[in-house]
Amino acid sequence: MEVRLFFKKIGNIRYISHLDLQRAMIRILIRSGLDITFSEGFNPHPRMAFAVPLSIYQESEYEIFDFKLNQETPFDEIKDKLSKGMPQGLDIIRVAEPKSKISSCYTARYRLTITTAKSADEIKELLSGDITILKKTKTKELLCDIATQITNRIFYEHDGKVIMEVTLPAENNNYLNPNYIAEFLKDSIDYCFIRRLCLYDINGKPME
Amino acid sequence: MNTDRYAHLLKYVLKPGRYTGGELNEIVKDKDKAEVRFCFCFPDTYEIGMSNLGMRILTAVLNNSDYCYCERAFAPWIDMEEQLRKSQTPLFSLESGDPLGQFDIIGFTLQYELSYTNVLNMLDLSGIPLYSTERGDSLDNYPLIIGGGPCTCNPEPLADFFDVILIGEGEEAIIELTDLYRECKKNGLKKSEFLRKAAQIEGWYVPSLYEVIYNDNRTIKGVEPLYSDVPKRIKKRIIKDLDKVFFPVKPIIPFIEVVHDRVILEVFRGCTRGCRFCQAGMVYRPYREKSAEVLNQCALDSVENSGYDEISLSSLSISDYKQLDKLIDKLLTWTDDKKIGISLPSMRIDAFYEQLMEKVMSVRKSGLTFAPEAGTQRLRDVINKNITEEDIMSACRKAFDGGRDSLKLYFMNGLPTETDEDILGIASLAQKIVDEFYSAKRPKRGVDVTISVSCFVPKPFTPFQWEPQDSLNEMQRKQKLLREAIRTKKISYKYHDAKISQLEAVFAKGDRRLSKALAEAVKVGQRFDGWDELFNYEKWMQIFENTNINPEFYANRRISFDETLAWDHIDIGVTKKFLLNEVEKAYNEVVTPDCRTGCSGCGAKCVINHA
Repeated sequence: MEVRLFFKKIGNIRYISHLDLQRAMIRILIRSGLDITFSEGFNPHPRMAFAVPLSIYQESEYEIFDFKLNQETPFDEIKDKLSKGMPQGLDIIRVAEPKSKISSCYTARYRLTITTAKSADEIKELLSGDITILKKTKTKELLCDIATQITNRIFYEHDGKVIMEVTLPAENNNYLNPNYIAEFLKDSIDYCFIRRLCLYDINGKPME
Repeated sequence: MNTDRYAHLLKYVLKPGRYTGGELNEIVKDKDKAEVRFCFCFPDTYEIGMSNLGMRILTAVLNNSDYCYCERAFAPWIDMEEQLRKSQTPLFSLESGDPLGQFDIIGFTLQYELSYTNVLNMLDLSGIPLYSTERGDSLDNYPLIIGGGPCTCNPEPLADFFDVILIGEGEEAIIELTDLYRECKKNGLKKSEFLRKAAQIEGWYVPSLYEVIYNDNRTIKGVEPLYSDVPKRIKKRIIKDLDKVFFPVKPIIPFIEVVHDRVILEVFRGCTRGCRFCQAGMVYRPYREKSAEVLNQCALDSVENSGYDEISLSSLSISDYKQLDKLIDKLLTWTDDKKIGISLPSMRIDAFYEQLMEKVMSVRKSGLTFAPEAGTQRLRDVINKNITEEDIMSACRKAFDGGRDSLKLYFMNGLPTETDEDILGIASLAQKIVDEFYSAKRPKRGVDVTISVSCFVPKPFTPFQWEPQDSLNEMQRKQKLLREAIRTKKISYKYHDAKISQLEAVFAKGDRRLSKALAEAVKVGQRFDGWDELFNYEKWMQIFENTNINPEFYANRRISFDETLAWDHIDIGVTKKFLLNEVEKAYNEVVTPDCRTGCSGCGAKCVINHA
């Protein structure tokens, strides 16, 4: 059976990279004692997939992860067994049947908590025109304007910090790391703390 | 820990996960309720420290006691060190994130000589004075600095920095010391009072209670206790019954990839082979085994608690384990189902080998490595590596027949009595192995034989402790000689940096006069000497010059048999008489049989049922 795990990644565990999280997940699955489906071959590993990688230093309130079991198992039981072995900061929201392909994720919502001497309006102003950044991929670097990719922007102040909430593309082949916004603002801010709030499908509905 | 206070530093380092803890099975206690706060420090990176079995065991032992809270710290990598120094932030522990200076006891494990600068650098980063005499006579001012691990068999190069050093195995001794500390602190005793009591516990060496007297020619005249109640010689601690000793089965599971990311099962301690260059083979004596039943249960519990998919059987020479077949059979009753691999490092080449590998290989294939150590039979006899060329060739043949096309062989350069013929013997042995591959019909892909050649470092408590290390020039000449003798691309040749090995020899056989060099090294920012990219030979030569130390006095001098050694006041079990007898036999190319065949009276007093 196919299983989708919805979980949070909050606190210290934000210092753990996506690659390391993948390894941790394998261990969590093995520890759970559930009858996990393994791949074939010389180095069998659990069949599993993440939706959209989350960068190191970023937290998330809504991550999804798919894996397979060899036999039908009640979701409550799956959740119980997984919960026992979850490291601090990885919290299970729920376990359910996947309603869509994990690759159908389309956008992601983020909250940027910015330590800065500037006001929310000033930050908003800084981001009102072109937002040209140096985008790095594995093979090349190129300058591009990401202004149009940053949608549903909200700015406000809270606890002496500027909060900005935005929606960014989060497809497999069109993904924008919110860190680029912090990079763009780096001369005007001291620190930017990023938390992913949700993952949406093409209709703007939270991934189910 | 709550990392908010360090977020501004962690943002700028490559692997912040090295410093933040929070791994599964991490032990977090209420620090305000702990009577003794202990910080266990590994003087290298997180990835290396978390792979260390000794650290896994001892942190668990300490946390097993109610009154003690043991946290962890590692040497920060240079990017983190830069952040700490720039922001004047003291080094902090992984669990509570508290600065090391706030702990009661800081314990370092000394696994290799080239980590000594990291020890001092970690103290420096914590704002703790390096020399024990600079830390005052109160148990409240600064943490007690203690050390243990294999390198403490010659504790002298670090003697001026440590308050107490453990000789031997720690499971019992570390608790005895913390018990004493707790009591002394409760009763408001001074540090000096505590230290006098600590010196009474077997295995604990209090360097400040001994005076070193030198001869005019710079050699050592003697190491004398300052008080009559302080033991003249410090006796190594050993655990008598390995089946009963505490073994942690809830390993901390690192998030970031560490060197040994698997369940490590310690199968036995000691070694019966008696290779004459090998320090571990001498100082870990006597030979003691765990039973297959206990090990199987440990493995089962550890896998269940960790989710690891690999079990590594760890010991000096794993195929010497009498119950190996039985243990493997027990493990295989459940490991295959769970898709768990068993790895057997440090296998010896013998008849038993292939049959065992067949069994173990049912899940995963891993690399094959052999350690002939020397290229000719003559030199293998000198070092008492009891394997023949026929052993090596037949093991390779079986490996090739079994479908393998690559293997790795370990050798050493600069062994006592070595001639150019012995060095060329390494090349011709490798060539014979390549020829062996092509002597039968095999897949077309070809063969890859890697020879990895390290430089011999004479170590305390080995029969070769009196031997000089080859000079740098000689070592490099030998490396070149070997490189030129290899005539095929089927053989890849790797060798160690002779300069690093020289520094290792200096600190392995060093004495208290080296402490000024170590302190100077930290001052000029030299650390991570075991890392090729950070080792700096020129800087080290400058450090030795500035502190008026001649490294060749320690590394490249032949010590006469009647000279007092810097480590003579340590009673490691194996006697000097035995070592002298062994080195004599080495010169005569006479081998000493395995302890199982007959006792050679080494002094370690083991109880083996001789076959």
